[in-house]
Amino acid sequence: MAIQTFRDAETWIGAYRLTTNLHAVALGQKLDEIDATVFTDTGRRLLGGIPDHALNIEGYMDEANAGAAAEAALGEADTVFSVAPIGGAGGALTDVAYLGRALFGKFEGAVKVGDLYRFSLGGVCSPGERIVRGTLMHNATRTTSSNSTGVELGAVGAAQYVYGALHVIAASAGDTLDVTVKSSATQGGAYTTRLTFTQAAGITSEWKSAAGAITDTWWRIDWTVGGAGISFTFVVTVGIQTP
Amino acid sequence: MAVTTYRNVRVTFNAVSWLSYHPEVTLVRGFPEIDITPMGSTGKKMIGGGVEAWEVRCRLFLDVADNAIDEQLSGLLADAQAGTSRTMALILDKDAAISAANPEYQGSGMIFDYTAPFKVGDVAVIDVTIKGSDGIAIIRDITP
Repeated sequence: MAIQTFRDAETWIGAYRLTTNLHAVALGQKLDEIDATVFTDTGRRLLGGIPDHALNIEGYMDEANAGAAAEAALGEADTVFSVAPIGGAGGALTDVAYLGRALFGKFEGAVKVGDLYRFSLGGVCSPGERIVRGTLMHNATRTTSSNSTGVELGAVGAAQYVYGALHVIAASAGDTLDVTVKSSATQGGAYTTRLTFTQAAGITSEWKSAAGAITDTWWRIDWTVGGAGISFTFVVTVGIQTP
Repeated sequence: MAVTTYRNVRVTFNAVSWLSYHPEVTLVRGFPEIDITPMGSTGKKMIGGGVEAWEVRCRLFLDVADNAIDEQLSGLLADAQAGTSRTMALILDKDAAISAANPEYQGSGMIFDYTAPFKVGDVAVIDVTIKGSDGIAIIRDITP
C-alpha cells in the first residue's frame, strides 16, 4: 500500500475549477441500514437500503471563481461535479476520479475582522444517484481537434452504466467544442461513440450516461473544435458503475 | 494476566487483508438490554436479548491506487446495496496460530457508509464499520 498525502486534489463543480480555493474535500457514501432480522437468527441480519451520497468542500473565498461557482450551483438540481484526489493539474489519465450530480443546498461563509473569508459548500447526490468512482480522462487546454490515448477502464456489464462528466472551465469567445466518449475492443482499434456531449460555446458542464452491456474495454475522449483563435480548457471524467 | 501490546492485528474482509491499512481496530459485540423489572423490585432486572449485534470498526489510511482500499470499499458499498454479505475475519496476532490465547473472530458483514476526507497536505484517514449482517452471531474460533 501507499499511504498518501493529498496536496493536489482537483475539484470541479459545474464550469468551475475550485482546486485553488479549497483546503478540504469530503466524499460521503452511505446506505440506509435496514434491519431484516427474523426468528431463528442468532445475529442481526442487515440489508443495504437507499444510498445517500454527499460532497462537502471547504475553502477560502474568491468571489470571481468560488463565489461564482457557489452562486451557479446553490439550489440548482443536477450540478455536475468531479473530484480527482491525486489528479494534480494535467493529472495522469489513469488517476482515480469521483464524479456525480448533486443538489448543493448548503453554503456557509464566515468572515472575521482581519481573517480570511472561509466558506463551505455541501451537496447531496441527485435523487437515485450515487457518487461514481471513475477515472480522470482529460484535463488540458486544447486549440485543435484530436483525441486522447485509449485507457483500459473495462467493459460495461448488462446492469451497469458508463457515466461521463464534462467541465468546460475556459472557452474562447465565438468558438465551439464537441466532446465524445468512445470505446473500443483494443487500444488501437476502431472506436465507437458511447457518450456525446452537447456542443459547448462557452463555459459549461454536462452529465451523460449510457446503459450496458458494452463489451469494449478501452476508452478515450475525442474533441472537435471550431472557430478562430480557439482555446478550450476542459475536463472529462468517466466511470463505470451499477446505478 | 499477560499484558500484551498488539502489533499484528489483522482484519480480512471479503478475502482481502487490511493489515497494511489499519492502525486501529475495535471489535464491538452486544445484545439488547431488555428491562424485565417487575413490580415489587428494589433494583433493575435485566436480560440480554437473544440476537447479537456485532461490528468491527477499522481506522484506515486511504489509498486510492488501482485495486487498493478505496476501490475495495467502493465495491463493498455496492455489495451492501445488492444485499450481499462478505466474510470477515479478525485475528489478534496474524503470525500465530489460532488458539485460546489468539482467537479469530469470524462472521459475515456489510459496510454501509464511509466518508473520504481529503485535506491539503494530510493523509486521508477514514473510519469504516463492518456490521454483522447475515443473521448469525460472530464466531470466536479458538481451534488451531
